[in-house]
Amino acid sequence: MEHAIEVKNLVKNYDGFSLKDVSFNLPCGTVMGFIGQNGAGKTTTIKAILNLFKRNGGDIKIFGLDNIKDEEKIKEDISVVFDEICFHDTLNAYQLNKVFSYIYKNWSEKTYLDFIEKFELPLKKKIKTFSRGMKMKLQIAVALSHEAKLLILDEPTSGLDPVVRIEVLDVFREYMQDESRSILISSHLTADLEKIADYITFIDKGKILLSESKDKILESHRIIKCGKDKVSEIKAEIIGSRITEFGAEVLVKDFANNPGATLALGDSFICEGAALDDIMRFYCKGGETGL
Amino acid sequence: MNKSALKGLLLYDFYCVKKVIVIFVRIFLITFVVGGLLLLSTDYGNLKVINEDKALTKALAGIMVLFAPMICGTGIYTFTNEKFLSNQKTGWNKYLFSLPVSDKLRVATTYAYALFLTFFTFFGTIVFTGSFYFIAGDLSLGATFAFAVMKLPIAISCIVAVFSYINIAISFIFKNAMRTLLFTSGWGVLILYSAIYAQINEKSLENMELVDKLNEMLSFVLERMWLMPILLITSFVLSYIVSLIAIKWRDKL
Repeated sequence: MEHAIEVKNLVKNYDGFSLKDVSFNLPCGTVMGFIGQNGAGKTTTIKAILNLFKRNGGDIKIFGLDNIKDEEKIKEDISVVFDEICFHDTLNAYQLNKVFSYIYKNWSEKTYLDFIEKFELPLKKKIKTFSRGMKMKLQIAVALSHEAKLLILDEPTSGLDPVVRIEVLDVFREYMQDESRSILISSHLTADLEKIADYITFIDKGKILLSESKDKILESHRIIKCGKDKVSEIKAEIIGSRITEFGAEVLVKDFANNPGATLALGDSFICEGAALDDIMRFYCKGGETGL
Repeated sequence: MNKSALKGLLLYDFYCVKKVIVIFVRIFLITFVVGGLLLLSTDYGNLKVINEDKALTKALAGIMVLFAPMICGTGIYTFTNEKFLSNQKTGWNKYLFSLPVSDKLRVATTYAYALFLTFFTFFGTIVFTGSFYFIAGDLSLGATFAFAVMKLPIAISCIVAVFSYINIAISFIFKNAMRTLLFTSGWGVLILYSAIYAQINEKSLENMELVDKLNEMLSFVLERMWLMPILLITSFVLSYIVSLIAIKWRDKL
């Protein structure tokens, strides 16, 4: 099996928003960062993958199986972590162990309790007494305790302090030690994704703008800082620019394949690597002025 | 059907409403103890002096048995409502679709839960009513009278259960806010219709005549007790089918 997730021409129409022909593949054994602004369509795409609503078109396959026809079978191998804990706050970690031991065929009480111990979570305290970080850890403990081959994470690190974020990312790295496993992680915290992702899919206004390996994306995009009157002399595909009274910042694509792109600028420019944050900002905003 | 998963989902629901169940059992017991003491007082306490021909005992027992379906009925309605509200609020409804359970099982869990609550309602109603009948000491009136006393609470319990099943079906179609709006406006229309009907057709009713008229309506219902199980089963089955269709067309999470 080549792909953990295959999304082909996914269409979903809402009032005032739609997913337009969303297509991307998540290769098995890799981590894909799913980035985009708030309201870009990340969560809607994840909901479509989980068959949470009736879509208007397209196909979704998980481990080569149709996500509607083989829903039950597929979901044995999937774990989902949402941005907010989805368990009733009067329950405790002990009760969740009981509940999920009935629901998942492959539930491992030992793995779950090991995670609870590792995360230093109280077993019999109600969830409502937990901090946000503890709640997220509890969700992750549940997600990783039934030998899931695919982890779908919807903004798992948003709102967490840096210490917990690093701890959570380490757990995901550990999970990926087994090469048959894959992760789709949606986030607008691109710094986290730069650390962990192999692939990046970038969605904006319901449309996929980029879906490639992270290294390739970072390699092919550059930021050129030059005088504001020099922008028109750049001979490369300009994704977006930011003009201020001191000069211009321009994001260009396929810079590595185009050595003559900045010839006309002479020495009066600086070329820097673009971070995912910059790429996201310029793709979303296009040309903007800071004047 | 995956029985193990069904057990897990029911266990989750049980853990969620455990606290509410404990509160209701307490209310039930307090009402039972207070009512029981009041009834015993009509036989052995201060109230005995004004209890000629056990008239007071019968009247009090009559009032008390009405509490049974009210408490149990409120219970079943509150538990189902609490489940939907908390599941929507906490995101469990959404999470449920990430679990390896079929749509059929998701619906079946809700109805298994409702069925459990229906039994709880009837069991509570019968035990409560029977106990008061026993405490009132009117056993000499025989089983026919006992059944007559039970009829009203059972009828009320049935009607509440039917409304709860309809509520479940609506919850699979609409979001909570819309469900509450529909239910409230449904009751509103019913009350408004009754008021207008009374204003037009029963203008001349005064004092006890109104009570007699209500008793007449009550008798009409009680004489058709055989309809209750049919109503209960039909509403259960229809709501279940509607829910199964609605979950296939889900678009509300």
